Amino acid sequence: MDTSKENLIYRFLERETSEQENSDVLHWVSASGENQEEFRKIHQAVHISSLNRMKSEIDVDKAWNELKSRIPDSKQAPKVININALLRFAASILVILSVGFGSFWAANFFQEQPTDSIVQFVTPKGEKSKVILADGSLVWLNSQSVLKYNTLNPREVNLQGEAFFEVEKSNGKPFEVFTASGVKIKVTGTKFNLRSYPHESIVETTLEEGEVILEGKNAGSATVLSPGQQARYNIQNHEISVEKVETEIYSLWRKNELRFENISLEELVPRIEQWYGVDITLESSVGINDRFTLTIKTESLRELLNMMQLTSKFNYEINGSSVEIHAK
Amino acid sequence: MIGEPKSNEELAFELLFRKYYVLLCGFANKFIANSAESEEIVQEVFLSIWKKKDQLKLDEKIRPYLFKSVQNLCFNFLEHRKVVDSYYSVIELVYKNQFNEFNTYESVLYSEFQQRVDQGINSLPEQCRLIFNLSRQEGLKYAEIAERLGISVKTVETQMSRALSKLKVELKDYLVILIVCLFFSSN
Repeated sequence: MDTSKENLIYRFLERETSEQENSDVLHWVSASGENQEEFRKIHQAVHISSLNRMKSEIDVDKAWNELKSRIPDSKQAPKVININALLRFAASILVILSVGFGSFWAANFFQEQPTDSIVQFVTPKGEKSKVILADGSLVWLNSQSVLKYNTLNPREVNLQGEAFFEVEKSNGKPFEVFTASGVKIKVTGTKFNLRSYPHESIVETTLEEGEVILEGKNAGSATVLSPGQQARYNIQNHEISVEKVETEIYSLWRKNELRFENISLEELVPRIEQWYGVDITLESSVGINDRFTLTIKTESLRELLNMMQLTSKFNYEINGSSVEIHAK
Repeated sequence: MIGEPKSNEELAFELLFRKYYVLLCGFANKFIANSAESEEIVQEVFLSIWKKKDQLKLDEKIRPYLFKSVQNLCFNFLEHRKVVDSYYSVIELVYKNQFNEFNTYESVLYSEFQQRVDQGINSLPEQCRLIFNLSRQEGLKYAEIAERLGISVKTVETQMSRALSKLKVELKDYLVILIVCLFFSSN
């Protein structure tokens, strides 16, 4: 192995390389198993030499206290009090940025006397998270979504963005989701996906199991959905249309999968932006009505765009988290 | 927390945590290269263990399970992050078939290794050692080191490469010994 290659890998592992150099490294390791073996050796040395610093940075006591505060049935009350104090201190708002599908146990907030505070969960662009509410209901939050509720009533939540709900029954007490558009969804025990992003004109509710009651802002009467149905509420004219759909498709995102059937490039772009956490600039002459049927699982953004290029004529350029799509 | 009665289970759990936390964070950091994220992953693993404590026995035998779980979560992390950071594409590619990475790692004992590393560093020429320590102990970026010492970034790079090649050589012998030990101890 020549020295310049070895130096490149040292710099790469120190995170001192440019995007271009990173892709050189990727090419090199893709080339052969031996290269990968060589990479692992260098990596081992670099890694070991940084362990000392890591060891001195980690505070095990602090980590242990943090963990204790996250254990649902922990008997260690002091931590809980701290969190409540923090809640009041931080203008009653707690923002949790969770990573990937990391779960956060909200339950421990409620062991002490519940106080009148708003709990807020936020997922940044390109990330998802899973929240367990105090009543045992599960909520998967898609990228760029916000879930809020008052600790006094965790069965009344406010959603901006997209979430999949698996609601636990609670002695006939309803569970209600409010959206910024004024649509209210009322359920008992059920599984459904709700999509209500601020920049989109449709609030989409897809029911997998159980029953939901949908109330539009001026709709007057309520719409009842049965499993397998999807309601699309138009924010502008307050009309609700209901149709039968393959519900599974709409909640695949929480299993790290996206599937689209015959979707236009124009509709697809915001989905891709969300999924990969990037900003896409579309040149006006690109065929926004080109249609795609595709499934995204583990594909990288580059792989996806390359795949799309097979049927649509465009060139693209990725710079960090911004992507430009030009007509060919 | 004083005088709080603890069950044996809680004690066993705390012991495990205190014993393995730093080691597991180090292991996670190998893939993640970010100590805060690595800690988060290890916390997740301990949380899941606590939730499954009825099915698991919280004793030394859980060790491989701990490492395996951390590795799995790290792989999920890579999967998710590689789309926005090409660094992780490389790490994923290199390790995706190394299912037993943790087996080798687990047996890496800090003190002994550290001794070797320290010896290696001590035998480096003075400037090289200084630069290496600024990077490793203080976590400075190359540009920061260059500025502090009034030298070029290129020089920092060269000196770092020198130091790291030396460590790679030191480590090579060690890994061989380690694998032999492992072989005998597992029989």
